[in-house]
Amino acid sequence: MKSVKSTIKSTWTPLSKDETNAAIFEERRNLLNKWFAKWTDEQRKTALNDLVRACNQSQIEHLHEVTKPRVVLHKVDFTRQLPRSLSLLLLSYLDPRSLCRAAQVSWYWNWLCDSDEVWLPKCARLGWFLPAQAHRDVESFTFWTGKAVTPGVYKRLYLENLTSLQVEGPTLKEMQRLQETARRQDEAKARKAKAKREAELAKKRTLSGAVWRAPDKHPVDTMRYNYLDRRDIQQMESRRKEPQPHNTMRSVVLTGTGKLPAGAASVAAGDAASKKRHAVNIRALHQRLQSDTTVTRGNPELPPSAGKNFKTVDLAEPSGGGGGGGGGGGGYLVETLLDGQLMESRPWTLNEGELE
Amino acid sequence: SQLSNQRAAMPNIKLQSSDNEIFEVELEIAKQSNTIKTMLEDLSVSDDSDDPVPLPNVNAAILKKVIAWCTHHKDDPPPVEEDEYKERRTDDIPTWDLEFMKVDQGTLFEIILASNYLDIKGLLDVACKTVANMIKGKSPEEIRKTFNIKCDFTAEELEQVRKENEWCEEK
Repeated sequence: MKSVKSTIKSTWTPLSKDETNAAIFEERRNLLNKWFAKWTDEQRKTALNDLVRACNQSQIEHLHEVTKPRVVLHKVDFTRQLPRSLSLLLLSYLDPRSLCRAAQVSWYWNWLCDSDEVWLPKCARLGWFLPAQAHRDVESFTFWTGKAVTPGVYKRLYLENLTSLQVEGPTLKEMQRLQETARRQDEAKARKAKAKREAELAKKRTLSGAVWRAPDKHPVDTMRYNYLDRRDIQQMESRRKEPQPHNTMRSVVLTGTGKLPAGAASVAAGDAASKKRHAVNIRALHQRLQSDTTVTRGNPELPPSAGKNFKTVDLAEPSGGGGGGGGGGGGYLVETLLDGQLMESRPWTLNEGELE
Repeated sequence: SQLSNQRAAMPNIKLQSSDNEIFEVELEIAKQSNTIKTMLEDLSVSDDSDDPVPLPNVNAAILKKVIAWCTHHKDDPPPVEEDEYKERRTDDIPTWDLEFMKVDQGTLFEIILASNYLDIKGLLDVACKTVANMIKGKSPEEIRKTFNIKCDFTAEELEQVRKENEWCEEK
């Protein structure tokens, strides 16, 4: 009886035997699973749709129970979940740019994002209002029709006020100006860097010429510091040996040294005779110096007047002793100056014979 | 007697979620919800009554979160009455709240619904800011992806809407 009853309801297998029946079901279920595993996402969804359509109420409820814990609401369009007022509250936290982008998402978002509820506070904050009559019209229209038929009035107001303010990004001209400024700054910077580099190089060069530089391993200028090779010293030596060139400005300074002869001492005394003798002395000295000397201090042609020509020469000043020291050992020191520099210092003794 | 004094100082209140779970919280914490506060005042419920306050719009999981938030913020000064037209900032969420809001979108929106129903201004504010930050700085396509929204514009409509909103983009 049982088998007959089972066969009536089944179209796919003779359910005469429960074990066979279970085995066949198991086999086909496995087969279905195998197919399902190989299907693509789309194919699986199609198959599931068919299955769901075939389900009765209790099976659907079972499906719901099974799937409920596994469904995690990761991405939800909140405008579909929240009441409109809350969606608008949420959107009112957005800045104008974000609102404009959100308005491009979908029709419903577009309607929400353009609504006056969102834009009116933004306009009001900046003191932008519709004319009173227009605002009343909008309000009454909304009131009587029960729906906002003029969405975007305040958004338009915001946009128009913004445009009238000419709040724009940098224009092309300004961009060019900015670029020009940046370019000039770069150039100035490059110039500065170059000057700095050159200054450093110059510093290096001066440093390499410094006296305290590190010893050179391969010196090339050793000759220069060889005493015997020093040209300036050689020149000085040769000048000393060479005969004095003619026609050179030269001054002879006569300085009294040692004891002066009695005649000389009398010069200091200032009598006319001794003065004359002194002049002769000078002339003799002049001749002795080969006549190439200009005696600037004390003109030998003229009798030396006290305090004028011979003052600095100290000829009149007997260094030996005041009141006419005797003896012929006295003399003069002849200093030859060349351009103010002492070139020669030579003692010159007056002899009695030379004097006259 | 000390115990009873403490209880008098900090009376508790029982809240019943939509799925009949009962939470016992301090009255001061529960009173951050203006809905509960008004309910208690209007109905002049005595503090020592043991009847739970039914909250049929909030399930246990969300109520738990809401109570956690209220407990952390119980010492906050009462929210100041803000200018309606004030510029709303979204970058001033406290660190604790940022962590608190790291939940899936479904929970987040349920928190918004619950805080709106319970009238907890601070929580609603923080939740709204969190959602606003998910939108800010995104392109329309990125917003669609974030919230799994189907674009129901045709190509021409999309182009027109793009042109209409071009003005706020940087040139």
